[in-house]
Amino acid sequence: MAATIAALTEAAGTLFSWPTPLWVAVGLILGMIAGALPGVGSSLGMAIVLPLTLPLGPINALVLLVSMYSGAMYGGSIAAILVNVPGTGAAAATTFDGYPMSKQGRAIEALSISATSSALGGFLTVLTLIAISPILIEAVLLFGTPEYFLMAVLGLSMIGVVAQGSVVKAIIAGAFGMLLTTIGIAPNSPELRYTFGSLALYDGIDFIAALIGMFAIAEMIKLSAQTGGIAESDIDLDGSVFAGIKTAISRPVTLIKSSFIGMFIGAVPGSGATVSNFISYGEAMRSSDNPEAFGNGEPDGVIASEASNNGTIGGSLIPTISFGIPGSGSTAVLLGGLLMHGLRPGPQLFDAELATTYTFMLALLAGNVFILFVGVFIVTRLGHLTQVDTKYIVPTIVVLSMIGGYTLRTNWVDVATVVFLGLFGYLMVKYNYSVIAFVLGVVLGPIAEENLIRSLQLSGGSYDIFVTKPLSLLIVIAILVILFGPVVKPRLERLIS
Amino acid sequence: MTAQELYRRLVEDVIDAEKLLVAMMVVSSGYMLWGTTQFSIDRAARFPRLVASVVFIGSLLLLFQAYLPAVLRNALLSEGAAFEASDEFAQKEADMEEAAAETESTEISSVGRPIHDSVFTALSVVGYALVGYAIGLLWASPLFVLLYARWFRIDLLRTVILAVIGFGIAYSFMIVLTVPMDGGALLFQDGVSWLPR
Repeated sequence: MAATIAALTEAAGTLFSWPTPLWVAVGLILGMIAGALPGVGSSLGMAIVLPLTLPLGPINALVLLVSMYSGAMYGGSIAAILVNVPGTGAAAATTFDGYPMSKQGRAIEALSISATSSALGGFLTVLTLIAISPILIEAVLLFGTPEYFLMAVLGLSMIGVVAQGSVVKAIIAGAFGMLLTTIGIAPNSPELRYTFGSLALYDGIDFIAALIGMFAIAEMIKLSAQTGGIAESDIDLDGSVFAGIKTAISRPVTLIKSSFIGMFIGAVPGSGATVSNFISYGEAMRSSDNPEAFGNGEPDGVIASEASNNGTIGGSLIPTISFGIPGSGSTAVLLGGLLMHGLRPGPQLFDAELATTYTFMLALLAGNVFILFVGVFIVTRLGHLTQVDTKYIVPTIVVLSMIGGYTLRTNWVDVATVVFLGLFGYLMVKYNYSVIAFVLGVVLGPIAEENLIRSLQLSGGSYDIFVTKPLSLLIVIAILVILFGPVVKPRLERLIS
Repeated sequence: MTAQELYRRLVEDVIDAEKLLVAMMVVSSGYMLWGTTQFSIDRAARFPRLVASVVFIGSLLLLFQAYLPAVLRNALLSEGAAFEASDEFAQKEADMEEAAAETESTEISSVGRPIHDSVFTALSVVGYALVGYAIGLLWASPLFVLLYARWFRIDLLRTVILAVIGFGIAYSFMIVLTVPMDGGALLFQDGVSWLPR
């Protein structure tokens, strides 16, 4: 406990030392812009900023990234409320009531509800995350090398089950992502794999280039095909800021419940804010005395949607920092940032780097206060961003992506990775292959391989090591249930009936 | 048959992009699986062999799913979707999608060009990378933006502004991260000396 308090104190000291607060503000503003710009969103925004964090130290880089994540979650609601187009999938449900409110001349009120709910939802769940972190630390320390390998497999399997679409397609996508990471020098051995004798391939595929390709280029190809860009808004920015704040605060049950639904779902790998958004909206509607009002400008709809998507952040950090399993695309990029700056998820982040971990958790807390302030008082300026035509966004993002890819290692293999995986990612999205599973495979591949090799070294080459300890056996059983559950369950039900 | 009709037939009827995607995974995982037999250190082959087998078998099954027995085909296409949206939510989403589809054009391109906008973007991104390799990304970036903007019929003033932004992005990365981007494999091989750094 004393170590936790000491780390928290050190983290607070770091957070409030210059220039860290500046990176919190920069991250939040960039995130809000990325969230508000049609077709951009948190994962894409974070992916193209990732190479720019190279000159920053690990703390400032991570503070910038988590702040962007938080800002983008809120930013997505601006387009949802003002032009009926969610800036991110995580704000899809916000359109249902936010846009009708705007049409009723309550746009400012809806935006204030969104800012207050986002800020309070994010604040509450990150505070909870900090409160449960000592338990998390104890749990993480129980995991050894075999368990970490199994957790990587479990994470991929979970995505197959949670993601919409075919489980097999998701697993193939994840395994293909892992396969690409085997290019280059093998870990702990001098073997060269699939390099075709080219020196440029010795270090393998850079996962950040892969993230940029999958999130940015693929999305831009898709966006360029959307006809006409964003619609012109016919909304006047009317309504009261304080009425919005009052409305959000006066409905604490919806706000708190939605925040924690978001946190719980965020902790499940592959689900992310898009899923938590529709679950909490559905729950708010189910428990409402007036469900007919939903879809016609009911403030509870905006509160549920916005509190849950910011609540997801706290939850998704749990598997990301504990086991290296990102809960969503944005946390996959965040994990990329951690690895890029030499931080390994797992025990290291809860031991030697505990103060760093707390710094970015506290940055999220402070960021939520900032969201409330900016969201309530400056958001009318950000509203203009939703009017930017996609025709101008696409070439700018493509240039940022290609340049960002090249600057990673000044290796043309990275540019080729950005382009190839961009095209590949576009086809994956088009034919319902899970991009998140693929990205998770790319990020988890090296961690999984290293832990597999080390486990087999410990056991003298025997695979028994994965089933001899109760914890690892439990994870193996969970993997089997997750993988074969969807196939076996209907047969079992038929047998019983 | 006009060139436009031939293109439309090729893209919409002849080329099955999903099959192409799966075939790409079959071929690459098959090659990588075979590659593991060539490694001299057995330890280095374990992980790629494991994941390549998963991809190879899975993608092969997907590629030939039409010829598989119904039980296996259903298992292949079974959906996870552990968290499902409520009926009301799904209805609202469907309504929104329907409204969006009503406003969508059936034309190939939103700007009256002979090929799909996404095909042009994909090709231009490949071209951008190749030209960037040849002459340096600093010069290729505004060229890409110019081409893109003209194709999408953006007016001249905005095109020039976008190209300047493209150049500005490349130049700022070059200066801030000290990464040379002003030289390529064919032109300006040693960069340009007159550019302020």
